[in-house]
Amino acid sequence: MSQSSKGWSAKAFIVTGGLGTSELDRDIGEAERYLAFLHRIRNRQLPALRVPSEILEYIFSFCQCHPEQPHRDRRHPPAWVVVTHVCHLWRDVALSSPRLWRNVVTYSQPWMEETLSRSKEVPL
Amino acid sequence: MPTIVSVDDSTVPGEGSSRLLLLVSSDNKHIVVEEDIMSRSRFISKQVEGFEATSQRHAILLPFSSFVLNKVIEYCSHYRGYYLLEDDPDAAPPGRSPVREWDQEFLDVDRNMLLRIIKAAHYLEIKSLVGSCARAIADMIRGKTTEEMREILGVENDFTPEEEHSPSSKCTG
Repeated sequence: MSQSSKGWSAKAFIVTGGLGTSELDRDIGEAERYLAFLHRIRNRQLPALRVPSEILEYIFSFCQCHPEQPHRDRRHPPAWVVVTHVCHLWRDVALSSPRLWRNVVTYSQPWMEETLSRSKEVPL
Repeated sequence: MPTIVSVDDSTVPGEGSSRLLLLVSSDNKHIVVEEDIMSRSRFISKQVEGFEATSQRHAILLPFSSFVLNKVIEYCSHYRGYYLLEDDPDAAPPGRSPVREWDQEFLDVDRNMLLRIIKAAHYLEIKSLVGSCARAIADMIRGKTTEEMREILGVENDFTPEEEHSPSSKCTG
């Protein structure tokens, strides 16, 4: 059964009162995952994301620091890390670019461990 | 793989002090440009070396529009004869210098155009232009929230709720 026809059947069940809360939660979860999947396909067609990954990595490297705004908060990840939350593609590119993670600028243990793991073999 | 077609000698005059190149854009516009201007492009330089080896003149077909190509030519014309560290293959990579003043004005274009220029510069291997575009894009998104970045780029949130709330994303970025 396709995702969309599943949705319609869920609607029919609601009308008839045939679905309980847990079943509805499950259907909502499936719908959310399907929606995220569709957004991922759509995003990959955007000019903003159809850029070679080495260029994206280069852009992210310039996002990392700003002479007038050095990262001073050592308890939280640096601000540039939000690029990894924008979409799947950006996250994949950033996380698979060890050079972006060679500057460990935090005292937060989990963050430091994560940064070290992402930097792989690149010298810090 | 670059596409190269043979052209009639009469199409491209090339006996002057600075030889001329024929560049053909994806919208089939023929643009004649002096070789010196485009020598900043390592891609073009390699093509020219190839021409010299075969003693034949060619047109170079490029996979971007004449509008974008003209912007790149404008950039190369402006810096004709200038030494730019970023374009020197033997020089060490430059530090994080700010975007040059002229480049800032030159790159004051909309987001999509900026992306087209950086892709063209990357294809043509013009490192200085790639660097300036990358800095300009970074300036556009730096300091923005995730939502603001998505809005600037026209991108939808494509994470599932589980991914968004996973420990690796929430706690460590």
